[in-house]
Amino acid sequence: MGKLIIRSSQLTRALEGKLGLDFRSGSERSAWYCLDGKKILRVTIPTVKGGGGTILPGTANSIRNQLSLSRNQLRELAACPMSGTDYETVVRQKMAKNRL
Amino acid sequence: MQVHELQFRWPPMDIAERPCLGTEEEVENLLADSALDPLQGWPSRPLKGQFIPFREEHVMSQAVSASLNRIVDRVESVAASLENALALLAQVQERLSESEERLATQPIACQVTLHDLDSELYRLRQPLCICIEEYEEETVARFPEAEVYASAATEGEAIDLLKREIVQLYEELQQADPKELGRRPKQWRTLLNRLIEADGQADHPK
Repeated sequence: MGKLIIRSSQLTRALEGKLGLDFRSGSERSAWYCLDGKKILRVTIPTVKGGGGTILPGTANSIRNQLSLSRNQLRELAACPMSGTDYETVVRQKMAKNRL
Repeated sequence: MQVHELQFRWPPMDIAERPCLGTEEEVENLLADSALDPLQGWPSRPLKGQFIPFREEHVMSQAVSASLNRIVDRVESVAASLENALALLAQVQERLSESEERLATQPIACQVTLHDLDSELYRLRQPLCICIEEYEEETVARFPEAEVYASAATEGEAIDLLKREIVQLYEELQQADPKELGRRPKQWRTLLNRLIEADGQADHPK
């Protein structure tokens, strides 16, 4: 089990770009992930001063839980391999199994 | 006899390795069978019937050579053992760093009960159980049933932020059309409606 090291700016870019999330300003920024016109998940990312820091492990773990992803899947989402469509497939599979 | 004297004057030699030099005949036979270096002044093969006095230097050189061989053997075995030990040490080191990494990512967790939301608009109908996870560089407060979390440097700050997050989620769910909510958000809404009420709704004791 490797350490979950993700850059804040990288994850925010991935969530906004790939999943179309819109984070509001505030101490903790939250956004809804919608599918077929329904709010499915709510994701909160911490406000990062300076923008380029690494997300701390506890926060990364919480975001991973909110996104309903495994560690590797979150890494893939933050980096290039997992696209928005791939994530949608993961969510749909979980919805089909009544997990979401 | 000279041979006997020499034999017993060489205590470092093991009994098993000690040459059997009892009689002249035995010495003759032994020397006849052994290949001695002629350069050392020893005939490679003794003359028949001629007794060759046993020299102390020869015994010593043989003993030193045997000891050296034993030392070389031991050094080789020690080197092999050392190599094994180093390999084991490398494995232990690797496991230790893995464990350290795991420990760094594994929080110290505990449960805390919230009695209040620190909000002028809302209050809790009943105490709320949340999880506190202390990591090396942050403390995370979580309310897993509604998948809400807040992170801060200290436990108190994290709890304060979590209360705000819970209120914010409650408001968002109240404002949302139930038809627009997925399965989980609907569950959160039901749960939070059971736990939270507007401050005006409460029956204040007079």
